[in-house]
Amino acid sequence: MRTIGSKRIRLLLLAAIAAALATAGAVVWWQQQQKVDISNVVMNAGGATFPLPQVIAWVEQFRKERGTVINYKGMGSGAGQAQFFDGTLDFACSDPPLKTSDWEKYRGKVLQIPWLMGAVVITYNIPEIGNHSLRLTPEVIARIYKGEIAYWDDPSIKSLNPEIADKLPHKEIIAVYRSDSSGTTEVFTTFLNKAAPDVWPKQLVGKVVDWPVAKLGRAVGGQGNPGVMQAVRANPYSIGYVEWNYAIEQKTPMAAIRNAAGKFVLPSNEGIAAAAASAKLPSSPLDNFDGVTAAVVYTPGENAYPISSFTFIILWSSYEDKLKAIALSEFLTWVANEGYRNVVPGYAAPPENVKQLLLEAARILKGG
Amino acid sequence: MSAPVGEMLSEKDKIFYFSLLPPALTTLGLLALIVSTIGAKAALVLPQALTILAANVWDPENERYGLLAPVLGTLVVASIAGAVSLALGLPLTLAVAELLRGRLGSVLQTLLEMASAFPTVVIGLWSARYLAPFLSENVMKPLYSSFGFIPTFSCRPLGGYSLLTAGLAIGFSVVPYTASIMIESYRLIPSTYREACYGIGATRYETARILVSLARPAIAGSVLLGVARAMGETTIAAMTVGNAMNISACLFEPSYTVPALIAAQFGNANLYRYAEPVLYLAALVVLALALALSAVGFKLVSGWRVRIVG
Amino acid sequence: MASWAVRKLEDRLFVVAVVLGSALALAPLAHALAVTLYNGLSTMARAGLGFFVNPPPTPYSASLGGVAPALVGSLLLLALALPPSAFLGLLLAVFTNEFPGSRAAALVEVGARAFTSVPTVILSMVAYSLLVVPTRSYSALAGAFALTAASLPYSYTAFSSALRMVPEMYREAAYSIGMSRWTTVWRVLVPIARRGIASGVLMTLTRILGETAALLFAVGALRYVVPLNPLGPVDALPLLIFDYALSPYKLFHEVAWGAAALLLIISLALFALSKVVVKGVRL
Repeated sequence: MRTIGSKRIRLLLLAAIAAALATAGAVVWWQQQQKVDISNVVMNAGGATFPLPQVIAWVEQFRKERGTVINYKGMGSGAGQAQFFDGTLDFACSDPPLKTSDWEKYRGKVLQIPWLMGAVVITYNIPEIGNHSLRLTPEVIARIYKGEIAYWDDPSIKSLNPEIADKLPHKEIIAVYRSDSSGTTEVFTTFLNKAAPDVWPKQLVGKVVDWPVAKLGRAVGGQGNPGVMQAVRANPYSIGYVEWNYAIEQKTPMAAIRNAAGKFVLPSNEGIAAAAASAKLPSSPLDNFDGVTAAVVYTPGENAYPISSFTFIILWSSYEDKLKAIALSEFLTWVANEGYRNVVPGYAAPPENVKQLLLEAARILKGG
Repeated sequence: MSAPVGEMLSEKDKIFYFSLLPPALTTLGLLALIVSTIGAKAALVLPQALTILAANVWDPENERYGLLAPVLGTLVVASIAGAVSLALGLPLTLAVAELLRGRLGSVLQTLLEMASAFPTVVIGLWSARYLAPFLSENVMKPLYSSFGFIPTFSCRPLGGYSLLTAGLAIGFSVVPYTASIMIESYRLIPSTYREACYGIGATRYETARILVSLARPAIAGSVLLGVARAMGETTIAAMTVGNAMNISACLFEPSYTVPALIAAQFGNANLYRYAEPVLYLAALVVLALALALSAVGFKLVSGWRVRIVG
Repeated sequence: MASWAVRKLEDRLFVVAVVLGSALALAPLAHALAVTLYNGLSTMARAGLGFFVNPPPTPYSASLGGVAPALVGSLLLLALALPPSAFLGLLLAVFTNEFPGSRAAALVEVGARAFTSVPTVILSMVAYSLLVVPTRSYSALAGAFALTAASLPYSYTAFSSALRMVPEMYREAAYSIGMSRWTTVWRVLVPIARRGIASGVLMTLTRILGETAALLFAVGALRYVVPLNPLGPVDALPLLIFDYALSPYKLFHEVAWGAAALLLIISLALFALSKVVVKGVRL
């Protein structure tokens, strides 16, 4: 067979093929780079008040850049999950991930990513000691919420805080809890059960809990993290559990809690990161994340903050409204690349591998 | 009274009647739809209704529910509101319809009408920020320290969120409604009674006593109507009652009412199997009570009005 | 019979008791009015005109923002709920006024009264089950449904008493010149009752604007964007007040007071209007 022309023609052919490939590649690349116009998309989201300030900040920033409106309503993790499955919310935020039984029902259709970390802090309002950080152990906190410790000058609290023991007043402790279905409650009660199982049994763990102290008339229910924070501020001698951000913003004191290593720690980014190191996260957003909450509280690390938590975003793997899916995908990508650079005080960016989960979810949404 | 149906209706009138029937039936249908929806949604837990109503627990994670605290709370709050509307509505009635029957009376009545246009959420806001702390400092704490041996006052107030605060706040919001019914009824008393009283030299006080005793059924009826209204009040209760599943003789402790419970728990109710039906059951109980009370109240008022004029 | 001096004393004490009682009855609401206006107007002054056109602040905002989405939402809900409520209320009032002996009219009377005893939060639950869940969306329509149901008994009662106040002689006069019932109602009775009817419309309006519980589970609180779609979620002034009052942020509290003052001013303005606007017919 005669070869196709001389060396020159062969080179020309090679160049042509290369050029064609390059052009094709360039076109594809250009198409990928083209930002789809998502400025008219309006999404309804809701759920946990734990990440509320951060989510609102991200959503607002994303809206300024891309125009998409995400209407996030803080209604508690439970309501968020309920209304997500009802179909009235496009995506939900929840502190605990889906229970295995719920995940099984929607396996393959639902995505979860632990996209943010925060800490549950114990805050209180004791005029006599002002902003001083009390030292508390899980057992003491559990016994307060069980109603067994009734006064601020109880010996168990005094012995932990000798330097201000005489300032602790003989006033009844008002325990503030979440009246709505709350992921923050689930994190808090999971911690109490893991750290003090003799005092706080498994039955008292969950998003809505039958608080023993409520039956004694010494407790008040607040709606959402904001509601609990407001109740603590408004009621002297009260104690409550809220996400770290709320206590920072309201400048209320936070307790130093004894972690599994025996150290009394205040919430800090390092403390949260140390706790996160103990969590083995699944590799795909389609996987079951049940158990992550328990894995991250009361971890053995020396400096770990014992009530650290992930908070999750829960979404479908595909949406009928294609533009919505793209907008959500863009949002997740944005959070992974930009959002984590500006995290509001009281929250921490999750470990590196979570970024991959976000990008994977973004890919799945786009049909990849 | 216009001519009754059936006798003198022309063809045209019959058409008129039947043309207005659809809207009337639609409205009645709407009411039936609402009641049947609630009933249908509560059906799942109706067999255990009595157990649920007798228990005091809210544990959806383990599917254990008890409505005793909110139902009792609703009854207590509504009773306090009723007492308030009686204690304050009667002076208002006497002021408008007996003492100040001229210009000043109509000014007062206008003020009353204005008061009934007050949005309850604003009353709730005011109660949470001002009434609760005020009551806690100036009413509950003194009562606790001086009369703490009486069960009703036997607990230390916690910031003011309690059945007492909720009851008083709702009472204040219901007074204009109750008073307006009382005034309308009182005005129906034929003037012959009043003239007779003054004619024999009775003082205003004695006249008022006699007329009020004449109007007793109407006054009782208006209070019952006010209580029925108070039972359904949501926003004020949600902002002042404390949201705690707590049953106690002491009125200063946080507790629950059914509307406040619904406001707090309905949003997440369908995450759990029985939470939503239980909330519908609670709604059904309050609805039944409110309907019963307002039926009795209305009967008392309208029955009395017919008798007093005739 | 006690002596005159004692009776006079009793009478004086009685007057004092009535005055005190009335004052005590109105004082809390008067205080609430004063406090709301004071706090709210100072918020509005600080926010300026922006209060009516800006969205609300986030916990991290520097400025007070405004309540535009909630305001527009409330007006949208009003536009959707007032016509059916007023229209149905009027038709029902005409019905029971014209055919008072009929069984249907008696049922309507009982039904309207029963409706007033329905706690409005239940209407919200029903709207959620019947409208929000099947359409998979919170909507202004679901809210309007709940609001219509909540305000219907009041509009009916107002129109009904307005019509009943028209003296019989006008009806008789109309019949005597051969008018049919239909014409009598719409050409004679309703126009004579127009003052009461107008005031009824305004009171219904006030009630719709101030109703919170009926909207709790129906409208979805689209808080930061002015709503344009009746099939989508909306926010409303009372909802915003309710949410923001329960939050811990001082900024939100101030906005709540401002919105409360706005709501109050609108309610009172409507009330004043209802007393003044329509010239009554001298009967």
